[in-house]
Amino acid sequence: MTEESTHPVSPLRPALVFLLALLFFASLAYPLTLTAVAPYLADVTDPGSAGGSIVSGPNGTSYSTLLGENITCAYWNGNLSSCPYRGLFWSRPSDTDYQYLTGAGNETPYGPTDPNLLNETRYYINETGVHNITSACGIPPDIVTDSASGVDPDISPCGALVQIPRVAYFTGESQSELTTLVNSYIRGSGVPGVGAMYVNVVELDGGLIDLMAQQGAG
Amino acid sequence: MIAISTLPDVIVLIILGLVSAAIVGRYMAKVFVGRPTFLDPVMRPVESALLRLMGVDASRQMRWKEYAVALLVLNATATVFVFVLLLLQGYLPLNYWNAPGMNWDLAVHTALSFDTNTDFQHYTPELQTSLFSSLFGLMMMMFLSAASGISVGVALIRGFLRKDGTIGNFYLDVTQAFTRVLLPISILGALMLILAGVPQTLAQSVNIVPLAGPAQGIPLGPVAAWDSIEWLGSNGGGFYAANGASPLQNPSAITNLIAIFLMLIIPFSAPFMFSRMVRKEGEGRPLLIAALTIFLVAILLFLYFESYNPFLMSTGISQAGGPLVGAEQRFTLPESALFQIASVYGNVGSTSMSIGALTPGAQADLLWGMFIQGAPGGDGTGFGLLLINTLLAIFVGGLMVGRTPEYLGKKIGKYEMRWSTVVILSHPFAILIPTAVAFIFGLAQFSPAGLPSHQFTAVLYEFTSESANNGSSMGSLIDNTLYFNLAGAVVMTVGRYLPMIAMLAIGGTLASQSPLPPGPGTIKTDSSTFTVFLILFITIVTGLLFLPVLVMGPFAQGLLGGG
Repeated sequence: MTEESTHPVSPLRPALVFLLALLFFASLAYPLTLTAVAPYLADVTDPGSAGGSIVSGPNGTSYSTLLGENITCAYWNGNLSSCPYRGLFWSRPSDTDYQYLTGAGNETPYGPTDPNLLNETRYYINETGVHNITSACGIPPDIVTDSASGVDPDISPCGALVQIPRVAYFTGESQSELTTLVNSYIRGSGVPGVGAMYVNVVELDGGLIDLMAQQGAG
Repeated sequence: MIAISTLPDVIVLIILGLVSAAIVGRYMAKVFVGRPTFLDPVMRPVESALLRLMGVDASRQMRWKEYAVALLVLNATATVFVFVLLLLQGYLPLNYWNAPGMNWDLAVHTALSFDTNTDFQHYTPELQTSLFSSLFGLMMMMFLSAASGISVGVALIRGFLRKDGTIGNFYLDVTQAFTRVLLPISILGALMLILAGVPQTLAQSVNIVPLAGPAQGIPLGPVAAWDSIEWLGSNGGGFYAANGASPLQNPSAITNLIAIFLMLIIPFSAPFMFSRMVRKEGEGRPLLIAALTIFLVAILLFLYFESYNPFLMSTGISQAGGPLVGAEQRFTLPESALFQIASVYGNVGSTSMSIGALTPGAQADLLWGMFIQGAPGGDGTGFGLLLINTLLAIFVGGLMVGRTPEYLGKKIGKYEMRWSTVVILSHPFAILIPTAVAFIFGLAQFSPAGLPSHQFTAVLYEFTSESANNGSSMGSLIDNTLYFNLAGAVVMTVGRYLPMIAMLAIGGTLASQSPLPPGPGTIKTDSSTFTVFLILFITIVTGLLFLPVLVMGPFAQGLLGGG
């Protein structure tokens, strides 16, 4: 151990130089290097994920598989005949209406014991009509409660299955065909024992629109 | 109740995390005692060049006051820089979404928030920070604050090794914490996150034409790089407002597990580093077991409280996988829960669930972790707080059985106790006074209003999170106000730098003592009896300090809520 010097250096110069070094290494080199390798690396497992997993959907649409969309008629107060999404599978409720920029960060607003939470949940149960459905699924919580992000793209497999009677009614598709469709969109993390099973609503609705277009053409 | 079948990945992750923590801890001990490591050929030239430019003789050892001044000047310089950056970001480049310059009070809060490792965000990142501010302000700060924390933790440990009154060279420590620990592990973490599907791009936006609604832009950026240091550095400030719940930051159950791993690796490696540095293999064990026990109990309690929300029973929704209010479908409840506990008990502050929507018991559980701060706590400082608790426990234990308080050959005297007590008592003061002021003067506004007990919990949570340098929050409190910005800035600064200075002061006085040989009166600190005593000590002291406010907040919410 060396002797302590009697004249310590001014701490300002090392601070400024270290700050500059951090700006070079942490703010520039680190993210730039990663960005340079990211597309190649991401393509190994999940092509396009480095750029936000953008894919094209039916009819010239495009979407990110990571983000949900405001596909729901839950705010139409039961007036389904004028709602354009009555024949689609609905997303989870979101207080921010799936606005990716302006609605960001609005948490689930009500406390766990707030009567408003109870009222809101009952409202969504009523609007989605799931209380009328007798199914092994019961009332899936995902389609009647807010997510944490406000842009959760996923619902549970049950959350999709209980919507089949309504979708069948408005599209004219048979319930068994829709069940096959939903089952083909059930995903997991891909690693056994990791993650919950889910259905990506935007992908499922894209598949549904494609299915109807095929049948319309055929 | 929670199905056992959803637990295995969480259990495997904890075991894997502990094994990795042992490896990282031993590696860090080598780095900070100056022994050769495998990164020497790459990093040594960079470090020597940097230290030369800084005009620093890295071999010169500092006493604690000089160490503290160096730490404070570096952090103050960086804070001022980030403050100016945030004020002026409207005139700076890389601002696709036209984020205006921040108000001065919000900029003060944000600059100090990232400097103090709190990363409490009173703003919406998508709307209110440019990519320029994120990269050159906040991401730089996430590395600096974590490196500062690690340096202080290491300097405190050196107090037990030395007898000449020095505790290391701050500039060497902070440089090596960056080059040898944070940067390499961040790169590895970011590469894993990219592989697992997290976006990493310099594009700030991508436009889409959705199935529903008009075309809209998705804010993007170098999310994987951000995520990695956010979690590894126990920072916790989100690239997106939804933070760990955002599908762009945390897109799958796999990335969720990587996040938890990154959050826990450095805090849990500290006891292993400690054992190695003091060259007594058994001495880290009680500290590790104490932190781990408190942590595991917290997870079990969280799962118990969050397994269903009794107030929602009457709606008839199925709660077999938890209430799912304010949770994401792609994660199982144990995965969401472990993320949340790791983030709060590890003083990260990222969130995968809406904390305001959690059941009252789960909210109390999170508050409890921030009251303790050291189980395992943030990078470096978490272990420092655990050591301070240990010193107090030894002192109290010594008084109870009439033995001389000493630890690892160093006497625990009046000076060490004074600093330790100041640290323990400053925490409730920093939390309770501003909370009381907010209610007495009607400074807290809520949207939506919510129940009074929920309002109280939200403000309590706000200041607890700031004093503990955690950074998570409950959504309903409107916090971008003059009072909450300025009071928060003071609370975060006190909550960060008072314990840091205390750690350096204690390290300095310990370092000026010659080690005593263990006598018959020495408490065996590597025994299981001491481990149990330490856990009980921390639990009882924390309970005595904070149970009353838990009763007023979450407990009242649970007992009286619902109308």
